[in-house]
Amino acid sequence: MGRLVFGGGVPHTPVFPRLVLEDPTSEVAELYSRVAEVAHAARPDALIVVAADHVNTFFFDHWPVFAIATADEIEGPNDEPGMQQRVLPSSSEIGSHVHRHCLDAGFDVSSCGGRVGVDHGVTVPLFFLSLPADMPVVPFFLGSIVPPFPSASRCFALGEAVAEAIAALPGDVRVGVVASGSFSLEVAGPRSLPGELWGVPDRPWAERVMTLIQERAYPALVAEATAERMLGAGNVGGELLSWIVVLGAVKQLRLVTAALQDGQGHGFAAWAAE
Amino acid sequence: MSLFAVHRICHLVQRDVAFRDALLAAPGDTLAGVSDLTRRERAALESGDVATLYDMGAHPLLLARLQRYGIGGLDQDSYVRQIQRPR
Repeated sequence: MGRLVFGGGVPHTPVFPRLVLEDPTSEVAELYSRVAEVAHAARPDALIVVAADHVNTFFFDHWPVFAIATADEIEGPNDEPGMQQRVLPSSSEIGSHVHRHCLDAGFDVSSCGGRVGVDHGVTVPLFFLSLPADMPVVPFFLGSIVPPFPSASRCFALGEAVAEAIAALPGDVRVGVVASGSFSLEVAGPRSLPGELWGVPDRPWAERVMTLIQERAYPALVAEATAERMLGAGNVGGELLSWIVVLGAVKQLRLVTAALQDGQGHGFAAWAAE
Repeated sequence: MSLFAVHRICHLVQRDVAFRDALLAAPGDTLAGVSDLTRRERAALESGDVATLYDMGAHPLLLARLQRYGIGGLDQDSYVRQIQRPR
């Protein structure tokens, strides 16, 4: 049977890889490295990355609420023209298994075949986790950028179903699950910082979210994370739902590290089975 | 309104280099070929009037792609000025 050996949660700010390459001693590098250390120690054979699509892989002609890659390759980032497009291994076996299990559990998840495009929401976490290049990465997409969103309770239950799916995998496969996204973030909207294309409209909400994660107060977080509350924290505040999926998956795991970045609306967390 | 068409153009600006080049070279002719845009939307796209498009309901995540590629003469400064103007 499969084992969920690692859980993670990180932001995916597109400029972070360049910033850290320029300054490997930065706070951002340190925060990502704490998560990466837990990931490396867990020795996963495959990784499921839960991320909201930023209207790149999908468009409004087909806007899935939940979708999983059932492919053997992914390619990205498909939204950062300055970055080299890379083809990465995925796993149609794991993707299809999780897809089928979610359907059986009552979650009507779309499937994506072929070479699945992914945006920076998937590629930035992979850059920092630095896991083996041949390790399959299975993207799990959420339609949580543009409302209407799936509910937080539905996302938490989806995470529980994903954990059950992993446990039901054939063989002795070790799987990690990573959430990608921020808690409070405005992108290119009116609440951005003056002159900037981003802002953190509601740092207290980010602090509240992180406190509830640290206290494992998941029912409270699920109750408070309404669409109105999340959008009040920024026009991409729905990215929190990626984290809530992962919280549902890792509820039996041990929290190793969880912290906000100073002054920002995003956090870094890692869970381990051992 | 035809917000879908506005969003579609923002999407194509990033994904379709030929469309983007055509939009930069001949914005009026290129937008004239998009039949489901309203006259107001077409004018706003052509002139880089993202404030109007935002007020009509277009999502900033997509609108920001217009300034990224200089559509309608936009750059980051002119985009931010419009989006952040008091409402």
